[in-house]
Amino acid sequence: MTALFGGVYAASTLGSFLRFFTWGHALQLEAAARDLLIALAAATPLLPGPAGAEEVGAVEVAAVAVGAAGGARVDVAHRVLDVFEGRAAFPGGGGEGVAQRVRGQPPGGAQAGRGGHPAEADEDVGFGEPARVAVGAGGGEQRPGELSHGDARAGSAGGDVVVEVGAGRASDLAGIGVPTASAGASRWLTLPAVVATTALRRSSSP
Amino acid sequence: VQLLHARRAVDAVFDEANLVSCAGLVPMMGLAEQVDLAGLVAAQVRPDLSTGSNPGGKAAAIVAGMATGAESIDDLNVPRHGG
Repeated sequence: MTALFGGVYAASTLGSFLRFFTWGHALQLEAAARDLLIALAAATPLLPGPAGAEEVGAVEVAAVAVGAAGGARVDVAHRVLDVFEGRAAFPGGGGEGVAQRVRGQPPGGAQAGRGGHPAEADEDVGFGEPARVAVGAGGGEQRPGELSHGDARAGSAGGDVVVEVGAGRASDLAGIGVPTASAGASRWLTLPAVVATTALRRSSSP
Repeated sequence: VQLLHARRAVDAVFDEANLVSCAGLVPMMGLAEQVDLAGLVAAQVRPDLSTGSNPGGKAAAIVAGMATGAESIDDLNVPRHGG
């Protein structure tokens, strides 16, 4: 076959491929998604941050509901997945959803399958300083407060978590393990890394 | 030698229902190829079974299937032989 085809000649056994995934493999795939997000931000203008500016944007991690229809399989009933979604927003433009993860225990009580975690352990986020965090429940009372470096923690499960990152420096981001843009690249490339890190690493230590 | 190396815009139009489907995958997977989706996955995902071989190409195929509306493993046949 290699005499005929230079690259991947058929993507088959996708079902077997998906079924072999364990929780550890899912984490590996999330790491790849993190790298992909950074590469996409560098290749497209979807997250147009102000290059060189101190203010890099805002990060929001919210609990949302996503419908899953089951597609062609008639034995899969329509259901609603309870997921966390990470969104990035900039002062000059709209927001973009950049990451999603299924929450551990949906309201219906059923397990969400592999990779699920209790919601309490799902809310740890870390940011470069200084970060201001407001915790509210469905547009309710906002309780902003100052948090120290890398110590942003959300409140009750289901509450919206809004984290504003002000003057996040590349050195701070590197201090908490966030991959930063190399010298010469635009500073705003660090923001997708922050978003991806917070949205995808929240429960990376099960 | 090329004067300009920037990617030109790619536009796909499909107006023949009997030939091929999912022509919109051309620019999308072109972007995925540009950012090396398969390579990123292959660098991170370490399979421990034979069914997990070539994870990059399979993940890219699954992404393409999901972009064409696949929501189950059976639906992933869509990008393979049309819908």
